[in-house]
Amino acid sequence: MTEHLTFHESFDSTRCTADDSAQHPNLTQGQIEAVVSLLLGRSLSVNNTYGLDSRTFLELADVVLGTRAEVLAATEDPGAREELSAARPFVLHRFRQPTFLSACIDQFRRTRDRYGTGLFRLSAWSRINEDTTARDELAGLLERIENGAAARDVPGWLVEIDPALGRRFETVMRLDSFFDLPGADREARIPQIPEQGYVEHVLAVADGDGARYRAIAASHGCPAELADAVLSGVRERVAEAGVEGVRRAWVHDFVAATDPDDPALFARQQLQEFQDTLYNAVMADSAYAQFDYMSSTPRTDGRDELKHVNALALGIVRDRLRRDGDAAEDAERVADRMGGLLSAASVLPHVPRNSLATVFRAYWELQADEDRLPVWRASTRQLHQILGAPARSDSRLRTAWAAHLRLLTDMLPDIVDADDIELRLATDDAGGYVQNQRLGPLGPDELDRSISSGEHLAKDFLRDLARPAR
Amino acid sequence: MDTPRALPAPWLGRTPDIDVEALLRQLEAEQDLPDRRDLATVLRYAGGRLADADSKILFERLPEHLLRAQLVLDIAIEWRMPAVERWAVAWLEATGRPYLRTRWSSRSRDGRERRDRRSPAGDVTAVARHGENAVFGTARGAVASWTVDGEIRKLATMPGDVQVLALASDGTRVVAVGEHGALTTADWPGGPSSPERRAHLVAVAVAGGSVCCGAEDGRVYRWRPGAGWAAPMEGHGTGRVVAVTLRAGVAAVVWEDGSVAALDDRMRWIPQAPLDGPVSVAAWDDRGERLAHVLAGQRTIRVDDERVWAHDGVRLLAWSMDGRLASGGRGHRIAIGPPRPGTVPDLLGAEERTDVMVFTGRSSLVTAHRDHLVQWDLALSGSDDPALVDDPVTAVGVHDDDPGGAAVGTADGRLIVHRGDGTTPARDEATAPMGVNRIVAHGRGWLVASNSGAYEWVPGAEPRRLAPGLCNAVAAWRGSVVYAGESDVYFARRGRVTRMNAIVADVRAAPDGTLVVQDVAGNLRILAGDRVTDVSAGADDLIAAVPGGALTLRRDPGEPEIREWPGPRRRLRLAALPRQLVPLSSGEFAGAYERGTAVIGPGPDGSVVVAATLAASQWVAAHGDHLVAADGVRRTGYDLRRPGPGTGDGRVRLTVGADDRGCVVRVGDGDPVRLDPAVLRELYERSGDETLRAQSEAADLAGILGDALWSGGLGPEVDRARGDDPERPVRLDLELTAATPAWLAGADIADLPWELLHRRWAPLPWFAEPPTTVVRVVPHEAPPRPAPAAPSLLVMRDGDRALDPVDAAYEEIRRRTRSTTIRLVRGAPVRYPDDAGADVVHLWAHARPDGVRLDGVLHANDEVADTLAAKGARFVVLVGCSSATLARLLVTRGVDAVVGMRTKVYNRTVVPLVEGLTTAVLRGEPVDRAFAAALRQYVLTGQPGAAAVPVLYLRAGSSGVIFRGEGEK
Repeated sequence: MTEHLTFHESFDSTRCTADDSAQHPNLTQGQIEAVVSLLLGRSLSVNNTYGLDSRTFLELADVVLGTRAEVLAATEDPGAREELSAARPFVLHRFRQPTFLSACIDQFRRTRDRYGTGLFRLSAWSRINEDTTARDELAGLLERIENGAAARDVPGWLVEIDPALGRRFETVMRLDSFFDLPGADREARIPQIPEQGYVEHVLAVADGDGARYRAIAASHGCPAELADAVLSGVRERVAEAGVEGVRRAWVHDFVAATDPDDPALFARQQLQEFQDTLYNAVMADSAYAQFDYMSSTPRTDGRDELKHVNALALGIVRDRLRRDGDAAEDAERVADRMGGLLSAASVLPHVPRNSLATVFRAYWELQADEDRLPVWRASTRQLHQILGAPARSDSRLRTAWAAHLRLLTDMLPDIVDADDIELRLATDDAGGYVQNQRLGPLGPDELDRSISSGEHLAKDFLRDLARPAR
Repeated sequence: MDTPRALPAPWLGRTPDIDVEALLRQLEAEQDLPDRRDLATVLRYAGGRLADADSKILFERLPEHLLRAQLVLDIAIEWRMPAVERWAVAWLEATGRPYLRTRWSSRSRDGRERRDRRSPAGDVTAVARHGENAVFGTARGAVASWTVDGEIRKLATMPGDVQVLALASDGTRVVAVGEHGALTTADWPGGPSSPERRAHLVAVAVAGGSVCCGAEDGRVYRWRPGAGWAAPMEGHGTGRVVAVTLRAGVAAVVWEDGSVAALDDRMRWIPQAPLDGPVSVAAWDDRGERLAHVLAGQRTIRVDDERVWAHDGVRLLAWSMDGRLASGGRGHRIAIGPPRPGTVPDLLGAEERTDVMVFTGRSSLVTAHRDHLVQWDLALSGSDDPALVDDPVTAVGVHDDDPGGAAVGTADGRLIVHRGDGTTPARDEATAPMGVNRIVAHGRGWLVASNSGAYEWVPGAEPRRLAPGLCNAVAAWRGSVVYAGESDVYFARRGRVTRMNAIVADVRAAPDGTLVVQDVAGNLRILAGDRVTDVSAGADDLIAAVPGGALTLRRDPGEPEIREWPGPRRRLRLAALPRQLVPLSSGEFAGAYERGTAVIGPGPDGSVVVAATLAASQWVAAHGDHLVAADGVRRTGYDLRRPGPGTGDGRVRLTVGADDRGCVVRVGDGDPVRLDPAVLRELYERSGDETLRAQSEAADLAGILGDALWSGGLGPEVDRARGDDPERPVRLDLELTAATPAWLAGADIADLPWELLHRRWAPLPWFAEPPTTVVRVVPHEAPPRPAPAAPSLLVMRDGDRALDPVDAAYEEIRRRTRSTTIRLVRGAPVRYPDDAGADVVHLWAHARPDGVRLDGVLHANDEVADTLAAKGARFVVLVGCSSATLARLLVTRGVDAVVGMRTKVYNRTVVPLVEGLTTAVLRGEPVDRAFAAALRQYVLTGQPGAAAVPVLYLRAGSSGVIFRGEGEK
């Protein structure tokens, strides 16, 4: 069983749909964040929803599995082949479904005809979202494939609708084969705190004069007026429909129904970012992730509000979890949170740029290297043991982190750039993006320059958040 | 008459809390001598570093003048300014408080770095030349100048505090541009303001009162006095504006797509020849005529149509005023050279990545990384340290064999030995693949823990791998080597010692045989005798094993402390959290801090800072009072010095004995230093050989011995002896125990040329200013003979015709000594023996180690000594080959000071020594300093090996003043 799982909010299927261009930054965001997690020795935790319907994840999986196959084909050493086969870059978590394909079938069959507004809204397959026939046809094909009654070939009619859907079908088939491997597929759990639990917590901390809510916002760098706007949006919805009404589906509908020229649109998008982050925290918990990387939707203009709102949501989640952890009331933010920024590659021009395929080929070659692999693996194990220790030593973590980054620059000098505290990785896909992942706080200047920011909502770190303020 | 001081020492007779500003004024007002100029420069930069320092919590109880003096010392060492170094040490001695005596710094070897400062207004994001100064802009929108005198002066602030992205200056006016189209100026009344708040402005030029800016979206903006901003221009190139310049009213622009165009006064585009493709970086020279650029995705730098050199990951280009080009890229090197094909550029090794850079003069380059500004003096050549560039130190170890030195390991796996003086012999370098985690002394070499395994390394040979795999710790335990291998600790030869629950983080051994192991989860196992104790130390870091237990550092930021296990019991509450802490034999601790390096000890309310320097450190190791600290690629050696009794007495006692394994020298009351018998024997043999080559080799060998003694305690002792007066001469009193060890081929250790001792690569200390002299002292219990007011001189010589020139030389001596109170016993040299008494006796004769040959008869040393001593002489000069033994004998017979010759001496060249020495001694100068001056004259005669011939014996306890001299009756 894979020990260390990271859930990436950037896999959220609503962030980049089939209707978006191939240059959409979210595609690169999800992929580049995933590389960083893999290089840190973690596997990617995927829920069955995103496994089928996240365009970001499907395109990532296409590259990961494709390069894996290439390296496997070029590798003769039996030991190395065994290592490549044993690697689990993704682990599927199924919620109340026996297999990956059965989950896919269920999602395709949740059509508007049957479920009305409760339909499963397809994102990566949006061309057939409202096409009940096509959805049923696909579900039926998958059912037959699962039963061994049909070949895994791409149906011609699907390609006729959209050639991209044919490619996605192929990826789903490859994923299905991959998830059949031991340790690649398991059941999700019922989340400990549901989406509404966090909404209730927002209301609770904002009760009275709202000082505690604003303190949480301030400690996460979210301006007070922005936090107030989110709170007011939540309260308005609660007044209309109760706490149960503040749901991700509602806020997406709310935004979709807003005229693009409506000045209120951006405020509603912020509310959506906030709610999405809460929702993904629930998803991450359900998928057993130890390292939940919650990053903001990449901005496409000069506005930083989404980053601040994402951080605010993280603050609410942390505060809620801390409440369960018997933490001191005056606990404050620690300086060593692990966070990251996605920026235009031109911001850090010294970082080598590569295609995602080149990066993953290098990753798989590392997995097949009998000299480098044991050292890399021991280093990642050390990092995780330090993170998982009952009383974590910051100095040991920093030393091990610096050593691991140095190891990565030694092993993958043309792929990554790093110093003692920060790992940087750039891709030349979609115009060029760079991700820097850091142990420690993100500076306001850097935050300003980035197009997205994220932080690990890691349970291991949360223990430290309970440290009393001094 | 007092000679004027080379450097003022205002604390003498006053408080060490000196008025630095007044001192600076004094230095400026007085004669402009190099040392004074250096001191003024260093004092200013020390003031800058002090202003930058954010160490009040750690060092708040230390007086500011102590920290300032320490900074002056650090800078003097880094910049290799010996006079300022001596001055700073004297100031520190004057404080009467313990201090860290900086001994060496790796930075002194990459010493093109002249100064550095931290920007107080955030990370530096743009930099430009501004006359002789640099101007820089920051991420927080500040625009400031960094002047040649080290000051940072804020000039302007960007509208909305947005980040500065580019800067330009025409020498007086400064223009800064940045995010969202923001622009600000400095020293320009009526200058432009922001053109329009749109895309980021990323390039700017200013000339002749005009401004031209380029934006992220490719637009170009022009401003002219009186006309203001013209409408933004677009439509030629696409993508970001990469470079812009102004020449004769015409703007030249380079865009990201490789387009180049000029924009004339009438705002018309004049297309220029495009570059060969998209451009990643470009820069115009000062005249706006030559364009350096790099095509996107390439590493070759092109100037106009020529390829000049390649630079990995190149992203910075800068032109000097005289047409040289600098490039910066991946890694920490900056390449500088004339931009011509075939140029092999000079490489500058920075300690960190360079984010921005600019030439500020013909030989001055300013770089910045984050908030750290550095100025490089490119005129200093050959001082680049190629050893560690972009390869920080990750471990430091110290060794009994060279306590002032250290071995360092780096992130790339390099292993480098620094000797006690900081030097790094090439043979003492090796590589253990991947990062080094720990270095521990073992036998004649080192044990190394690295990410690729455990190693044993003896310098001069390749490291021998004991085991592969991640290894965090090694130790020498009960005579065995033990190392960490993931969750286990193994003996190098005998299997497993113990297994932990998680990967082993650290292993430490105590002298009593206690072994302590800590894993990364914080579990601590103490193996003491047969007893095994397991405790959970949580987030504490193991510092050391102690008999039966362990010391850990509890890193609670609110209440850091040292704890003792099993227990835990608090050992010491700390005032600040160190990055690393090591125990000292004194019971104190040496700590590496983010803002300094300190020795801390117990105080009434927890820890107190005993001594500290503001030089940050990440790693520290200690042996006795020697400390070695490292931060990034920089390594620095310190001695913990505690001024006390004996400070400033001008004397250093060296006791020299011998055994089968070489000479054993004790400096003062310090630990014995063992000198290599092979080196000593070779020194003896070479110094007895009169060929130039042999004499040169002898001098070099004496340098090796001098370095060994220097790092074995002589350095701190000289500091102590010099005390608070930087110009106080120091006398080394050499007590030689009679010994004829087998390794010296039957010779006595007194036959060795101890007078040649010096620091390698440095001149003989006799001739330094102030001098350090070497005197052989001999105990004699009889009271010294009284010094007469008018001493008498008797010169005796053998009748050998070969000594006839002595008669002529005597005339010189007579003439020179007329200025003294001397009374000549005879009008000319007389034959030995002469029955007259005399206070000063010169004997010119052929001699050998066992006696003196006079008129064909060999007289035993005892007999001659009796004869000469009976004359009641206080001072005797023996001009005869191998007369040193007789010289020593004469002191035992009651003569105060005797000069003899260790080997062959030639009467034709030795006269300046004899006359100069005699004159100075008679004038009342201390005999050692008179000897130093005379020796210099002797050396200046051109006599090969002159400095290794005469030796001065002195009665133990003598002040060295043999006669009172004129005016001191």
